[in-house]
Amino acid sequence: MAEFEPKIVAFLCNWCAYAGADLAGVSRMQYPSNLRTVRVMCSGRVDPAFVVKALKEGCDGVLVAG
Amino acid sequence: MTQRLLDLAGIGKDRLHLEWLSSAEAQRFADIAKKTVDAVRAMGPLDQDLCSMQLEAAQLTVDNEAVRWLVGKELSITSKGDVYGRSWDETKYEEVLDHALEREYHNNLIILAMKDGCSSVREISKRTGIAVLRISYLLADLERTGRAEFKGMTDSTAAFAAR
Amino acid sequence: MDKCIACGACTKKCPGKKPDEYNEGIISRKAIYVPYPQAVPLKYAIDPEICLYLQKGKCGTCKKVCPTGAINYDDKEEQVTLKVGSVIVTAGFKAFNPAKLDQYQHGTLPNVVTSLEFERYLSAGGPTAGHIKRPSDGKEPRKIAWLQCVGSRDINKCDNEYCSSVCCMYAIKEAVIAREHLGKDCRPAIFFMDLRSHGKEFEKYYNRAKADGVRFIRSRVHSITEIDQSGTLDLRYVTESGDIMNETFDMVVLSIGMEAPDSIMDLAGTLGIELNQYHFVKTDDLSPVATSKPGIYVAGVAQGCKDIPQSVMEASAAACSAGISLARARGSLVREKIFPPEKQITGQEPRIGVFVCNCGVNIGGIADVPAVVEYAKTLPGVTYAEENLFSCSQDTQDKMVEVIREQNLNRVVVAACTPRTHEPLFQETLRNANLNPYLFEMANIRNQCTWVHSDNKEIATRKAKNLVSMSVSRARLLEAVPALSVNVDKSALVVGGGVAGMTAALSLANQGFPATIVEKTEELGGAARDIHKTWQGQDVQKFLKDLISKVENHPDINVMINAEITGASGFVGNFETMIAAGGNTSIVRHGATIIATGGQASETDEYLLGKNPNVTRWHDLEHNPDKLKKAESVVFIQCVGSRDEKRPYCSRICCTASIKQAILAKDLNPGADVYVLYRDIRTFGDREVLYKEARNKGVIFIRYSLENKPVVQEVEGGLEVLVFDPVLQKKLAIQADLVNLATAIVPHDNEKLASLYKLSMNEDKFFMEAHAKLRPVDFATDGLFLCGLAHYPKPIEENIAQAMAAASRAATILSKPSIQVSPLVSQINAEKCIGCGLCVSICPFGAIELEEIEGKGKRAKNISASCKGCGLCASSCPQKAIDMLHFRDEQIVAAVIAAA
Repeated sequence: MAEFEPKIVAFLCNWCAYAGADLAGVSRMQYPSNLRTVRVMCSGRVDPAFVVKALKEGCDGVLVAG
Repeated sequence: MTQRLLDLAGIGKDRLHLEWLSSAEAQRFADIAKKTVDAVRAMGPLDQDLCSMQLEAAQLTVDNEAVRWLVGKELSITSKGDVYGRSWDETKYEEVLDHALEREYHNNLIILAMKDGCSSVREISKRTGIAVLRISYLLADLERTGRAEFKGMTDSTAAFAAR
Repeated sequence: MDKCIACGACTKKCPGKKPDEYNEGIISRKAIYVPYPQAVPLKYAIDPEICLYLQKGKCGTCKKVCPTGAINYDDKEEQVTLKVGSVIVTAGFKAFNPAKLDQYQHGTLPNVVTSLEFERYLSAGGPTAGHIKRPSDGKEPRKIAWLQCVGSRDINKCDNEYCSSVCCMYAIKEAVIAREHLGKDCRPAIFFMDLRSHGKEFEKYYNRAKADGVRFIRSRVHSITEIDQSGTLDLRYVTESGDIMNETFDMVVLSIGMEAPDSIMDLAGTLGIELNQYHFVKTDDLSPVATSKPGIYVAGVAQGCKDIPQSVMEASAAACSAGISLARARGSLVREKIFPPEKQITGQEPRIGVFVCNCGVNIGGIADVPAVVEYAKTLPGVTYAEENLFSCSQDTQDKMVEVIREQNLNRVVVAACTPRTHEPLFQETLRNANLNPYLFEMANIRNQCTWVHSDNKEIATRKAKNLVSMSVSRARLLEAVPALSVNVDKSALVVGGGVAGMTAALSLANQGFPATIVEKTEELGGAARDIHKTWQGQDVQKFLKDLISKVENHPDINVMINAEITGASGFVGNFETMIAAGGNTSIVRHGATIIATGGQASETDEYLLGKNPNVTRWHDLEHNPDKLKKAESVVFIQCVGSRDEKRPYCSRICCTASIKQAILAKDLNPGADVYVLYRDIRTFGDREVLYKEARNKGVIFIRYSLENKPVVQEVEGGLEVLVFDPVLQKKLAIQADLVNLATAIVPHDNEKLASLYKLSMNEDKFFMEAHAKLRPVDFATDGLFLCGLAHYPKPIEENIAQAMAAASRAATILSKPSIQVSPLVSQINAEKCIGCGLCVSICPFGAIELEEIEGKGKRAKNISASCKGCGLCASSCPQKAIDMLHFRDEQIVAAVIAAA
């Protein structure tokens, strides 16, 4: 059986983590493709309700990075 | 808070990862991405059929006004004290928060179970995994606040329903 | 020219042919052509030298096929006269032509190419569409060698004695990218003399290249020969320890240097400005962008070899100089850009257009872009989808405007690089197409997809589709957000009273914008107090005294000494800073902020500093050059605390500073033994002549490695320095009267300032600019600018230029009566709000207050100009009464659902 590939939503702060993720791209660092980024202006925007909603909608995990 | 709730719901706090990094830390981002994916992969898929009621209850809990109050006030109350001038340390405050969170989550789960057709305390317990005694205790409270009602006795078992 | 729509029909049929200059002659172009794909304006031009019609009067094909009648054979070059108040020379450079150097056989051996030719092979828009092929047989090369200093740092044959400053870094970049394109089997090697990675973050890039498999060989290649029919090359070289080596390579890249352009002689004659011995425009260290003629300024490589960030800084500095001389005329010829009116789209069904960018091969080479486009067409709400080679190019932008109008689109999704760099550009495109800029959404399928999943095309394609679907889901719910503008306080605050801070303040005050300097010590001057001469020998102390007097006597400059910033609030155009000085705290209001907090030479406990009086740091010697007069043997140790694990950056100035002092030691006492122990000599640009002068005067240079550092010990009668000499291959013991350490340049402690103004710092604690190359003096936060040593170690001439650049950038704000700010703020639903005030206490920017509403009690109110749109209030509101414009709950949830 193929290895389980989880679906993960990543809420990334525009100024910190999102910029870090962009820079990882510039440096061509390779990492797993499971993350789906939702850009927010600050990780403080992430209402706990969004996290539960993501899991409810079928994601296997959530990353909040600021 | 959300992580504690996920543990309560049996979903596991490791499905939510919280990380801090700066815009310069590209390598750290790549490492975090890998770490998060590996951790979630190790937990296996989130079984929607098994957890749907738990997730629904969790959703209702994070939308609950009282819970949102407690979370929002944490910083100001633990650093400046409450309106009665009492000071709170973080551990003590979080105990209260945990308690409220658990209570609200269980309340929601009980209500959902009742909406799902469970009427007796035993049925609710079987459906939700919450202990019988705890359900009786919470039901009394739910009744008082008008979120559940006593429907009468069926075969000498008390039947309840959500309102 | 107005009629040309750049359809390309003419060039397709044109019979004329000539090597394409832009592609270094690797391929040919037609007589009617566009010089390069991103040319502005994107219009076809006729090359009269090879046009059959213009040469022989027959052909005329292009005129026949042109659908718009845009061909006019009578168009001639014309002379125009412009009345200007100032001139800025940015004539650029000419690449060194290696044909003069027969040992490299460029032009004879097909697989010997120049770095610029190689750049074209790497380019997605180049002759091979980014696939690296060696010219002899079209095969992918495995082993590629870069030869450094071709046309630089040599005067044996038609070379130039200066260092071209940029070749080391571009060679590393080309090697890293080649390896990315060709895979792990590609083995790049760089043959160099001194590796010069003296720019910000450059040393880390060099270290990463080494770790990633780029080989660095310290040697100058002696000869290149072809060893077989296929064109494989043999390189013969001598190692540092004297061994003769042979190694074969599939391809050789010559890292050619830069020279003054041919046109500069005429230009200088016309303008009446002086050139230096290398034909670069002559400037003083202490007025780095001023030419010999008042009112004429210079920026970029026309002044001397330098990289992009430095060129951009100088460009802003030159603009600053021109701005000062033209201050009174500012704005008198301005015509405002007027956008067409915005269409109302409220209540309309979404009609979403999706544009998927190939970004050359950056996206298209990895993800299946046509498949992503087809997928986008199936998404609900999408009425149009197409792919672009470069969505950001001017012609695509123009086309996009047409498509939006023709298709009557009311939402636009671009799947491309990253919104962090390109969102503003596409938002302007929407404005040009009568749409509100916030009806735009970007899917990041390059930086966060194809670049990071380049090893699996299928996965990258799948992810790209999913990201597009998320963006489309969000786009369906987007709504127009009206623009927001604020008034500007026309004064600046400059933090730091060193050369950078004072120059910035003076440059602003001379343009009519008042400035306040906050200096934490008791006097102005900063690190320049420790320097006596610039590298070209100008008197720094005299300059400093003069500068301080100008600043102190300027009616528009307020200097606060012994002052500390204790609080800061506000936003672009309207900052409020609390300053404690002399026991009082005052509040200064200002429209722009310039951070120039400086730096200093670090302390060290290495090499007996502080334990032996004859171990000094470089500025001790600047203050006390007599010490050199008495010494019979002087040892300079470089990179003390730089380029190591703790501080993996190069301090940029130390090689030049130490060599300058070594020359002085020899001048004061020609009989003295003077040694410089170094790791790489980094006398970039014209400073290379100092290195040559030092060697000619008998200064002995010995290289050491980080693994094998010198040892300084006290012996009877003085000091002894032990060092391993890689040329002699043995350990030397040098008796020294004086040991001077080039300790690392470090920034002052900026943690507090960073947190007050919310500025970011890099890992080395230098402040971070918004973009290393294109916005070198801007902070990411609007209205804040950066200059001086707080940005990175640099010599005084660069500090002055950067300070003028920061002032220039600040003036772009201060010169306007009002500016636009982000309207993406919180929105409070007064019906749901119960006035609890949780949001007021939780807002980190003080952007929410409670106001009394008659009959309802208190209700929260947003202060839009202070709001940064972080959304903390929205996610915390117990009543869920707050939502964020453009980041509404439902908009975020829509993207989440599409992701799942």
